[in-house]
Amino acid sequence: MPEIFNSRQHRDRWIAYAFLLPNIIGFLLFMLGPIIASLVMSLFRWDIFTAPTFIDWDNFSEIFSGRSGFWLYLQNTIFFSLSVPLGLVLALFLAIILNQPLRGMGIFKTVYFLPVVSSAIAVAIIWQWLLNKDFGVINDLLIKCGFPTVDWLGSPLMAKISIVLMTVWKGLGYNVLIYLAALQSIPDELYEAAHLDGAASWRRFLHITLPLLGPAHLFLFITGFIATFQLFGPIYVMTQGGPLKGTWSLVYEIWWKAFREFRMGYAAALSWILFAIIFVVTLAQWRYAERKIYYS
Amino acid sequence: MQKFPNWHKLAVYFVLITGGLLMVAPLYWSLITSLKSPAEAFDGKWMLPIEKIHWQNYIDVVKILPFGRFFLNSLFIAASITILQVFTSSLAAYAFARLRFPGRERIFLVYLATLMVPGQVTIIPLYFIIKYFGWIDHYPGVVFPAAFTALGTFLLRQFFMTIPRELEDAAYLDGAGRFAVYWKIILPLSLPALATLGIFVFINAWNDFFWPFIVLSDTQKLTLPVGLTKLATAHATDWTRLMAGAMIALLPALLVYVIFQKFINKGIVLTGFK
Repeated sequence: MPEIFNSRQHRDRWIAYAFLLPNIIGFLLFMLGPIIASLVMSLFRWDIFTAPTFIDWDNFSEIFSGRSGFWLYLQNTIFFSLSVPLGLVLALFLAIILNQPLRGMGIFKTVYFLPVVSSAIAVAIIWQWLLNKDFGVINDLLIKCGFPTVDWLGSPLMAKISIVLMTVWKGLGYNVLIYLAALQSIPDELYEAAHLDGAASWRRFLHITLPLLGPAHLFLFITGFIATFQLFGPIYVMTQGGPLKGTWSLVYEIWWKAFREFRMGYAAALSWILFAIIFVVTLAQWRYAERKIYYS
Repeated sequence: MQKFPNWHKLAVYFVLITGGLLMVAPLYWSLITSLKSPAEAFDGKWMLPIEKIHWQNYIDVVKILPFGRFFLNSLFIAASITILQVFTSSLAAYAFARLRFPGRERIFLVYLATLMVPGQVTIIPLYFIIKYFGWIDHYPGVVFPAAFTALGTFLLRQFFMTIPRELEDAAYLDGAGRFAVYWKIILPLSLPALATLGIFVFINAWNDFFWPFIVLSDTQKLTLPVGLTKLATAHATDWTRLMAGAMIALLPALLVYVIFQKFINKGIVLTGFK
C-alpha cells in the first residue's frame, strides 16, 4: 500500500507541474521577472540609446533631493486619496438608507453602480464636459442658482478638487455595495437587544453598526487608497498633469520619465518608491485595524 | 416586514432619488449632448426634442477615427485575455488546491506576494520584454501580460477547496486521471465561479487603459479607451462628437453589467473584485 501511494504521489508531482506550467510561464515572464528586473534597473542610468551604467543609489538620492519635484507629486497624489474618506462617508450614509426593506432598492443599487463599470477614460471626458468653464452644466447650474462660476480645471487646487470629485462619483457604487453586504451580515438580535436596553438610534449606530463594519472599512480604505495612488487615465485626459503641475501625480511622473524622457532607471526607482509607500500605508492600516476591529 | 411611517419612507426615497439623479445626470447629459448638432451643444438645454435627434455625430466619429475597428479590437483583446486567464488560472488553481508537490506552499506564497505590487513597477521591464518579442503595437503585447494574474489563481483555488473531495473519489475509482477529473468534475461544478471571474476579467480588460496606451500606437490597432484619448486630443472642443465616442466606449460595459448584475453583485461581495 505505501508503495502504491508513493508512486501515486511521485506521479502527482509531474502532473502538478504540468497543470501549473501555462500559468507559471506567463507569471515568471510577465510578472515576477519584470519585478526583479525593475529592482535591478533602479540602480542604473539607462536612456535606452546607450548602454546602462551602474550608478548605485544615485537615482534615489536624486528623487529625494529638492530638485526632482518628487515632494510636489507626492503631495498631489496624497490629495487625490482624500477621495477615499470622502467616498466612504457618503457610501456608508447611502448604504444605511438602502438597507431597509422598502420597494425599489435594487434599482438604486444598479443606478449607483453604473459609473463603476464605466471606462475611466470615457468618464474623464464626460466630466471634462460637465466641468467646462463656459458651457458646462455644472457652471450653468451655478449661474441659475445665482452663484459665480468656477474655473474647475483652471487652477492647481481646483483641478485637484475636480479630480477628487470625479473619483468619488465613479467609485461610490462599489463602496455602497460592499457596505450594504456588510450591513446585511449584522444579526438583527444585536439591534433588538440594544433597543430593549433603551439605546438611542445614534448610539446603536455608534456602538453596534460602526464597529461591526470594521472589516469593510479596512477593505475599502486599503483598496481605495491603492487605486487613487495609481490614478493615471483621468489625469492624462483631463489635465495632462497641469495646470502648473498641480495634478502631476507619482504615476504620471513615472510614465513621463520612462516614456517621454526615456530615463528608465530613474522611472524604475520611482516605481519602487511608489510601491514602498503603498506597502507601508497598507501595513499600517492593517496593524491599526488589528487592534481595533472586532471580527464577528 | 417592518412598517414604516409615511414621512420616513418619503425621506428615504428623497435621499435615494437625489443620489440616483446625481449618479445618472452626468451620463444622461453626455448622451443628450451626443445627440445634438454641434451648434446646439452650447444651448444649455437638458431635454432633447425627439423629432430632431442628431445621429450624425456617431457617423462622423466613425469617419474621423475607426471606432468600429476600435470596438472590434477591444472585443478581441478583452475576450482573449478572459479566455486565457480563466483557463490558465483554473489549471494552476487545481494544482494548488488538490495536488501535492514539493514547494507548493512556497510557490503559492510568491503568487500572493505579487498581488501587492502595483502595475507601475513592472511596466518598464515589461515594455522591453514585449519589444524583444516584437509585440509592440501588436495584440499579443496587450493580451499576454494581462492574461496571467495571480488573482484569478487565488480566487479559483479558494473556490475549488470548497468542493467536497468525495465527488472526485468515485471518478478515481473508475480509473479517471487528474486531468479528466479537473475537466469533467471540477470545471462543471465551478461554472458560477468561472463565469464570475470571466465577467470581471472581461470588464476590466475592456476598460483598461494604462498598458494598451503604452503598447499600442497604430490607429488600426487601438482599443476603445486609447482611441478615445486620441479623439480627445485631436478634437478637444468638438463636444458632440466626443460624447458620441464616449457613449460607444461606455454602453457595451453598462449593457454587460445590467444583464449580469445579479452575478456581478454577488461576485463582488464574495471576492472584493473590482
